[in-house]
Amino acid sequence: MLNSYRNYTPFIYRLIIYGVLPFAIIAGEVSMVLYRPFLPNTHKEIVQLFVRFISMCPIAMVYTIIIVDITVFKGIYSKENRFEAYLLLSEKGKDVIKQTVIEDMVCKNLLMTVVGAIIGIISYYGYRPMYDETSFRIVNIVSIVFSGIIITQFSTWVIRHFMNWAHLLWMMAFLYTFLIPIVIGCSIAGWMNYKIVLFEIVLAIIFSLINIKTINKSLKKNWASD
Amino acid sequence: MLYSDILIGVIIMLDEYVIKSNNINKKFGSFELNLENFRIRKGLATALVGENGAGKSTLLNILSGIRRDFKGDLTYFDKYKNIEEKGLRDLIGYTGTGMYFIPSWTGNQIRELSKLMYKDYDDEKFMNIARSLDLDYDIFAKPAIPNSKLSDGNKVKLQLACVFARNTKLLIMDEPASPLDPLMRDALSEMIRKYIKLGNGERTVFFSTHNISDMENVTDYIMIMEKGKIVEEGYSKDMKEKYRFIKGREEDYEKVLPSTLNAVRTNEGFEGVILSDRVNEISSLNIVIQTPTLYQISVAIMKGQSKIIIPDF
Repeated sequence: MLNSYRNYTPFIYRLIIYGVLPFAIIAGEVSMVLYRPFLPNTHKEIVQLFVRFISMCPIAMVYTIIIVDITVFKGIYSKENRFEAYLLLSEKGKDVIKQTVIEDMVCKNLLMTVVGAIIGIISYYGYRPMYDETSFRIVNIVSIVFSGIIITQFSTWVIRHFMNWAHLLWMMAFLYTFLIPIVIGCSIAGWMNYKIVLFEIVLAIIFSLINIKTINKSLKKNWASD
Repeated sequence: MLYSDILIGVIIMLDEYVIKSNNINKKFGSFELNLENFRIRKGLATALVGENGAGKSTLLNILSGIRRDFKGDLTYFDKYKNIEEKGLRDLIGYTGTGMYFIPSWTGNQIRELSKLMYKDYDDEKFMNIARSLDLDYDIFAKPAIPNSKLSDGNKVKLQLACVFARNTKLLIMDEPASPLDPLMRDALSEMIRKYIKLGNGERTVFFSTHNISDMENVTDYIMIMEKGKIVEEGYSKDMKEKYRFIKGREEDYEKVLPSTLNAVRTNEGFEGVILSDRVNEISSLNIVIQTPTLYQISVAIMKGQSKIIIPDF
């Protein structure tokens, strides 16, 4: 399964999503903790800066993931998509594509969870006032992680339906300017609680399963006779 | 030469087929592919010749299992009724135009995926073929270029390395020679000949082409396709007996026209193709009669069916 994913996706794709992206975010968080004495004047401003940074992390991750995803999986769910002949010609071609999409889904969800956990731990121990002096709590970090997963899975599902660049750009504009900021914005709200997080976890699982179901449908369509 | 003649003779006697089909039908708007009793003979290199839009690629895609949205029955190797049947795809190799590999794949990714996808894939053989064909090595370098950056000729070489590195029994090739230079076309013909010879009558090649002249020396059987139908087919030797190539003087051009399939004016006079049975109709004229090439036969037949006319300038 891992072999399918590793060989199907280019190295640069994996490097950006699983290397550069988490490294940049975690490095940003660590450097903020290290350099907090040199950060803005008042205590309140510093706290706000940390909250803003943490809420921006999933947005940056989702934005990057969507753009990079297009380079490999563009139009894979669309009606017009025709899988490459080399995959269609093998008995195992279908499994390779399916395994790749599932593995991609699992890896992205794990990435969001792991990066979220690391950010949560660093900020909790590295800058406690953020939790003590604002309404921002650990539940917000957990919510950000699962909102990130929901948005990633939903956005990739939407984007993978489009082959045409013009349509892709319209959808990206919608996701980037409206949906992603709203969902992530809710995650950092003071009213966030574990009941809502539980609902988010269920949604994250549902959207992940939708991606699997859609690739199965897409494969069936391409392999099935008329 | 003797060996191949005996082999073809045995094949004709046995009359074995690798693909048999009844009433293949596929419609695209006004175009309709319609083939009744389509057969591919076992152990031979069969060429499918036709002009653009004749339906060659559609047929090859159907036969290779890439396109499944058609009507009709296909039987492979006398036992497989469906391309999905276990083991069948391992027996078929395909090279084609258009979307073949995912554009971002590098040579090493293709090698690794081939190991995953084809149980009889031989990586050493793949690299040997790639080296022999002088495939652009940048696709294997670190960092490697993606296959989409290769020239059209190198893309075909990569596909050839992939299919010849496997132990298949049927090769289906869509326009393999078109992007290749003359040297590589020669090498391709040699590879096809060797592939069939090493198969001891068990290996078959079915390829399409616009221009049969490059692959003429490797073609055992020819099918000419026009507007979704096979309009003429036969063993190369039979076809060369069935038709004659004629050359004559300008003043005889109008006289031979009713008897020929196709005759065109040339700088020296005219030339054309005629059915052998009708040669006696023009025997009184001062005309040179020769054995035609498959190219001449196919062009003559295609011209008879084609909608293309020379525009007035």
